[in-house]
Amino acid sequence: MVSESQLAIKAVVLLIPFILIVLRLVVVLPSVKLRKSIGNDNFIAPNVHGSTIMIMLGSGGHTGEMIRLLSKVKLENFNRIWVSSSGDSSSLIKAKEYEENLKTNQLSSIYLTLYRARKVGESIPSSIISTIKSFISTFNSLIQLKELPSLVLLNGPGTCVPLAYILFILKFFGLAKTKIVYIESLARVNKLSLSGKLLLPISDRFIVQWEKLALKYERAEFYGILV
Amino acid sequence: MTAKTLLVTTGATVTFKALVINVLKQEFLSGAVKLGFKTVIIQYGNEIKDNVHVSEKFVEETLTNSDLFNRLNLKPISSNSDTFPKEKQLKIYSNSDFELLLLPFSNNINYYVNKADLVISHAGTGSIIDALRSSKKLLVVINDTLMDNHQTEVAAEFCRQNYCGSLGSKDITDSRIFLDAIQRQLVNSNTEFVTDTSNIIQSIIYEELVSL
Repeated sequence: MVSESQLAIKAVVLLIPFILIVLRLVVVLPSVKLRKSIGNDNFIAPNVHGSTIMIMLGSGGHTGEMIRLLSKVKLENFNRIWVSSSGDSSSLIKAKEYEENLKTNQLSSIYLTLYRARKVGESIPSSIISTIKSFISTFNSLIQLKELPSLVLLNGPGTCVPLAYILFILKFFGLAKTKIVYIESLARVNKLSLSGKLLLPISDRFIVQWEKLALKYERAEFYGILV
Repeated sequence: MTAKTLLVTTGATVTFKALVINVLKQEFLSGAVKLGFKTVIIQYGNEIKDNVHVSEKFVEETLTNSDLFNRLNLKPISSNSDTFPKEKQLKIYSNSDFELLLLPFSNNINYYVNKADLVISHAGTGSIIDALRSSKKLLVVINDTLMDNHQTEVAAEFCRQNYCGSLGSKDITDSRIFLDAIQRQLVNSNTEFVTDTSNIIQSIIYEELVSL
């Protein structure tokens, strides 16, 4: 007969992994932290120059908005990884145009193409399959990189969901430190996009461009229209 | 009345047929001339499917069906004008009253936006922002035929805040309604669109990288 104290020990031993997972999540999950906002001092931190920034592009207006968002960012201080989905050559062209306009271009830039996740209007079974394919192809592309980016800028195309979640899982296991910055499309006035909803808990910074959304979602930051 | 320039911009992806067909109309163009527009620029779309330029084909068909050039006595002129850059796909026509410029798409659309006194735009956020950032009077035409189009929310929100006027694609089939809306927009004192958010993304990037 098993004594009660032995049962209690077993229960504790079984619970330890779960407790560890929860503790790890508390450490890495941005959504358990308070909403951030931009600090007052406009500091310059040259020690971060040379970091690698990944930028996700996407058809249907996402690339256009991303290029606008980047128009005032001094990207030449960072290595750049441009990411687009399969079958979206026009986004790559825009990224290359942006690169050509960079004044000093000493740091590196590379281009990645990921298998496209859910297409607009795709049925649920086929979007599950394409999402799984997208997860695998994204994972393969990421592990082939020389180093993972320090920061990734996302603004909503479906393929950014597997990308962000893989990075988050890597962060959970301590294999990555990539900061996830999500900027919701200007087209979202009253409610978040599906990508936005899915990325809200795991984004280090979550920025919206309409005040209504910032009032509705605790972690969303609002500074005005950014595009 | 000073000579004004009208820009119609339909975006690059899907041909906005209702807008194209209703600005390539004799009644509309004559009305626009009466409102003082001496230059009408129409950016009609760059939709290409199976190697067919869908947008261009649609414009050609529309022009053939309406016999617009004969009716308005429009003649093609070479793009020798100093005022517009030499774009390969730009076609210019003129009669004694006005110049009509047709182009599928431009990488340099802001050049045309800056020339314009009034912009008629589809409800794309990019086109709306281009016009508002250049402080242009703006009339947005919302495509009623697109399903689940969240872009209309943006147009509606900007109009609610008096940055622009708006019409549905069914409204513009009546040239009188269309021209009235343009006239209203011309005399309307819109809210000036100014937001200085230029360094927000830059700040966020630095903050996050520093906290690594």
